[in-house]
Amino acid sequence: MGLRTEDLMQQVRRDLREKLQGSDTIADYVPLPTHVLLRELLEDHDLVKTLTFDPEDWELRPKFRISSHRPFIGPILVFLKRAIGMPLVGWVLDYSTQNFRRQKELNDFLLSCLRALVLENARRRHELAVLRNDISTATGADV
Amino acid sequence: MKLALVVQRYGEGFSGGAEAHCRSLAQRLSDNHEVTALASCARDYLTWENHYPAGEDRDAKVSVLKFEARPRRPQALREISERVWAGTAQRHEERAWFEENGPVTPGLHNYLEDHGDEYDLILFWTFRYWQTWDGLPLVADRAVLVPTAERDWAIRMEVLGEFFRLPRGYLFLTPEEQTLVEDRCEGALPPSCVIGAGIAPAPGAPGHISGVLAGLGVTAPYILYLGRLDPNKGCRSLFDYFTAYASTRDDAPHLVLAGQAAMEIPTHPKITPLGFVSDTTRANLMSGARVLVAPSLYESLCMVVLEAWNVGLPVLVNGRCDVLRGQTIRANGGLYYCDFLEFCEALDFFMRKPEQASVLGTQGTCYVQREYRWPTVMAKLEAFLAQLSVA
Repeated sequence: MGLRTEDLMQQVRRDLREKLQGSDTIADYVPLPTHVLLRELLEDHDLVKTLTFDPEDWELRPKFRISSHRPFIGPILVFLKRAIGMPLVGWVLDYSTQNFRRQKELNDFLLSCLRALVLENARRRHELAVLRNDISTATGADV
Repeated sequence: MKLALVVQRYGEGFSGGAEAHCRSLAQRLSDNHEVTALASCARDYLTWENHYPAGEDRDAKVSVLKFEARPRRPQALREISERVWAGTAQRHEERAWFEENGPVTPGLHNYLEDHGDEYDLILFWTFRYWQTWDGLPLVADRAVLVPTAERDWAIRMEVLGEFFRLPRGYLFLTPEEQTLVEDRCEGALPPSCVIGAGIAPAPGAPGHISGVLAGLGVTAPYILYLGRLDPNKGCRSLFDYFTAYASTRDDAPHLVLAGQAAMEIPTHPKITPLGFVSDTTRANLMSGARVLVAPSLYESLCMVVLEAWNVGLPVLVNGRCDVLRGQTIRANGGLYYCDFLEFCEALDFFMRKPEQASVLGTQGTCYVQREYRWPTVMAKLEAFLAQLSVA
């Protein structure tokens, strides 16, 4: 009977949890320096957008691009959509814009919190690592 | 069939995966078809400076046509890449990005316009180069794209949504790549086939290698990294993880690095950089390693992982790369890690359970036998091309 990677990964994670819960072995794991933690987070493109966002990029604007993929009658269709379609649905856009604005305020607030929490978490981890190291050096005990 | 294969560089000795993949398929396809490779005159993928003479050449049974390329403008590419990377580029800037990325080969453009309809199918390698971006729409009705797509910033460009609708068919390296392109394609994905890449059976295991390894300054046990040492390949994280891991374990293995360095390698008593090594040394290193580590975040197919399995070596891969994780799970050929703690625990597994590690390596070999031998790959490819040509 062969081994399954996913079964072994479950075992690896189970072992890891047990070790982390055991107070006498947690010092086996060296918390990475803050800059490494942050870089890991920033390597993720989605997260970098979230954490280093430019408020302009996150402006919620209802993009309503009128276009057509048809090669010849496309321009005519676009004209008709603009002339007839837009007046009919324009009020929906106005309504949406107000809600987008409120949503943006909430997003800004939540993203600020998220950024602060990530940075604070990284900083605390670093401080904890330094403290553990100091105590360990002073007492010779695993902390 | 009369086939053309468009690729940024063509010839022997290119380290790029796409070029090697294209050439290996061209040579095998030329047994049954009339094959012409269309490429730039460049040798250096960073500058696209013309190195080879333009015009006709031959590579065994493959006809080769090379076209002069416009040298790359690094500053312009850097500036536009930043906007594209940040996701703030307009569509016209995204289109301009392909031109700056190059290699811009007007001769190839003209050739496809004038002679494209003489071929039954035209295969294009790598979506991110100008030759594909510019050339594929000219012959879309007979174009087969081998995108070699990775989950990086380039795949997020908006203009690709329409572009990915154009080819007559697709050849993918992994199911994960297929899903990635399918997600980005606006509308239904054209017919496609996951062919992977072929790998020949490894020659018998090298004999006594302990003396060879000692001569290289390699101390067992060790974990092995093969390939270019580059932050884009996840090497910075690997070094951070490994040095932190080694600082807490007296019995930590050594980390042996075999490949050209494109970054600073930390000086550490347990890190052994060997630089570029010969194929023989590479085989010896794989034969003696406990596990191969693949830390890259972006891959469309990792040949080094297949090479490791080919010789029964298990792998430890970056689990945040869906291609590497998917390959490893399908093969049951190793473990993966998604953070530092998992890296430590998985590495401990390989060091403390060599028998189970060996079973994983053997399962990797079975997977390669099943999926990646040349006859299997070529049978899939030939069937798919035949299906496209009659459709």
